[in-house]
Amino acid sequence: MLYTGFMNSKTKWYCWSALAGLLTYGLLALEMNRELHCWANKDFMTMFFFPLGMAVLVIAAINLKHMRLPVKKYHQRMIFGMIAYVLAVGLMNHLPMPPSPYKYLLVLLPVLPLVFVCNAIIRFVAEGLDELQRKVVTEAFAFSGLATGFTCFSYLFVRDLGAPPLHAEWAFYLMWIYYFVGLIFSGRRYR
Amino acid sequence: MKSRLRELREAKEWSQADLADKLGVSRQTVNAIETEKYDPSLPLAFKIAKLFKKSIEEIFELAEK
Repeated sequence: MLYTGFMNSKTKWYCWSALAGLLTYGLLALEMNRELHCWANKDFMTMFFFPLGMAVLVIAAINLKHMRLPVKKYHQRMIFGMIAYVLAVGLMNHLPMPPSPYKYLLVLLPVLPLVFVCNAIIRFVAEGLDELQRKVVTEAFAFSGLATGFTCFSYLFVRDLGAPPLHAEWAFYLMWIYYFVGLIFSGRRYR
Repeated sequence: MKSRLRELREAKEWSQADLADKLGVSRQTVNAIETEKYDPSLPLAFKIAKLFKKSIEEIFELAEK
């Protein structure tokens, strides 16, 4: 049995939430591997990022009561948006595909919750952060946007030399990787 | 921009976290202003001036190039 007697209630809460997050990550990674054969298809990014995002949301949901109001509102919006997104993807996959051109409208269904998620992120950056944090995050996003754009464009030259074609989802993963790199560099500048 | 924030804060025997709480910003922001790595916005500069009951010019000074 795990001994947690030396921790205060808040730390205990964080530890349990981390454990729940880890469990979510493991289960989702296994499930994605089973459904999409990510490991066999060498689609490691999908297997890494999607369960990670969901695990972070589970940890956030468990810790909602310890958060200050703007952070709490942001996480509530993100959780709502991601649940809506998962439901929209499920709906899209299970509804019979209507004849063209309506099928494009159905495929775009999951975009609606993503617009809501983007709005939640922008509102949090604008209202939930203090001015230095906002500057750091904005610089990181600017770096991420430019670096992703230039990397994807430059990859076309590599592709012409025989590299595998660029998958659209790579841009999404790259964006987050560059964002965290930008966050580290921008954060260090003001430390 | 040169800042006397650290001197004023230490005179009041406040920690950076105490000052950050009073100003409604993060401790990192207070530290960055004190180490002159970040220039505060005008509203934050006014808040700081009001808190220490001084004018903005008494706390911040434009550094000569």
